[in-house]
Amino acid sequence: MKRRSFFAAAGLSALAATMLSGKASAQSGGKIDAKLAELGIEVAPASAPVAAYVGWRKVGNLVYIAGQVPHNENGNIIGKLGANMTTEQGYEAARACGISILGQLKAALNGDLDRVKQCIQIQGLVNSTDDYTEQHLVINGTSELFRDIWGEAGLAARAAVGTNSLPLGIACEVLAVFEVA
Amino acid sequence: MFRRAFLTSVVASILAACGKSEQASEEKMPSKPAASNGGRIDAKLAKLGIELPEARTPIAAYTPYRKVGNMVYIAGQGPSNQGVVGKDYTTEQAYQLAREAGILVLSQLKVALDGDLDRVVQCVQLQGLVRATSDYTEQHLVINGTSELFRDIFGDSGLAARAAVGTNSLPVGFVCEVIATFEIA
Repeated sequence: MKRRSFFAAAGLSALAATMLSGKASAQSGGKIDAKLAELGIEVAPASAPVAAYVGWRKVGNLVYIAGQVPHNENGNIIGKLGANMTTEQGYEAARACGISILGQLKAALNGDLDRVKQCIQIQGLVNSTDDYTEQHLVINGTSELFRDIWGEAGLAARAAVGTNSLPLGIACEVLAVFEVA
Repeated sequence: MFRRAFLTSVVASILAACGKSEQASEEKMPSKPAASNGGRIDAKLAKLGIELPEARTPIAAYTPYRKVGNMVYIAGQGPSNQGVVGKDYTTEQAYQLAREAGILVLSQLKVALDGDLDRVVQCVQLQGLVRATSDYTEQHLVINGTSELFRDIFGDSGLAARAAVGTNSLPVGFVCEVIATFEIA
């Protein structure tokens, strides 16, 4: 009974993650904020984790961002590449993960994205059928977003991989590590 | 011939990891039993009734941990159970296996820290792989088994920037595998 209520609570927090939560990251009005405005990108406040973890961890000059769930105005982006999603739709989902990463990063940096020196590592997991082979093109959705924002420093030592299943049935999940000033 | 000998040794190591053969690990350097230093975290483990098993020897060509500056990287750890979540295991059963994986991580961490788990500053990153059916969607609840164990032991600093993912297959047929990175003092 106790365990059941635990799982019910975990399910609820998963639902809550599709909504915006937490305090809004302060606008620093910096160079990167101007770039985001120019690109028409609105970074929502970091969403709450869907389970027992934190959105980011800082160690020295590195910021580790937890695996981000893609979501848009309709909620979490659910699907499987090769079955019910095109590579282009997957690209948009990966871009949405990238925007979620920006929200976490902004929270980690007290709102000041200008402190980012480079994106070190990206791992992009794509919910795929066994014969789907364009995971790298899907995760370009994250990578090209970061390049648009930070230039070449936004490109990471990257791995894009397929998986047969992801939490909540999401189309992709992206985690990242940044060097910050 | 050389290759055959190599393969035989790999298979033997895998069997050893599954607890089916103890003597097969003789060619590996045995990891020393984790010494108890009677610290704060050891007391916490005792209170939770957790006894850390001897750190596992690797089942292939890798080291169980690496230290770089103030970081410790722990190699993928998984309990010996074999199966697929969503078919052979429920989320709750797999949660317990992820918890066991977390205990295996702690065993390695303790060896890396010469027995002193009090040196842990925080768990930085946790990657949890769950062997699952294609329509399974509760990987995050499974890996809570590891995360909540670390939180019980280290408090909120035991929670990591985490990724829980599914996979269709894992070495030796493991149900789950957990990779962790810690900041240490």
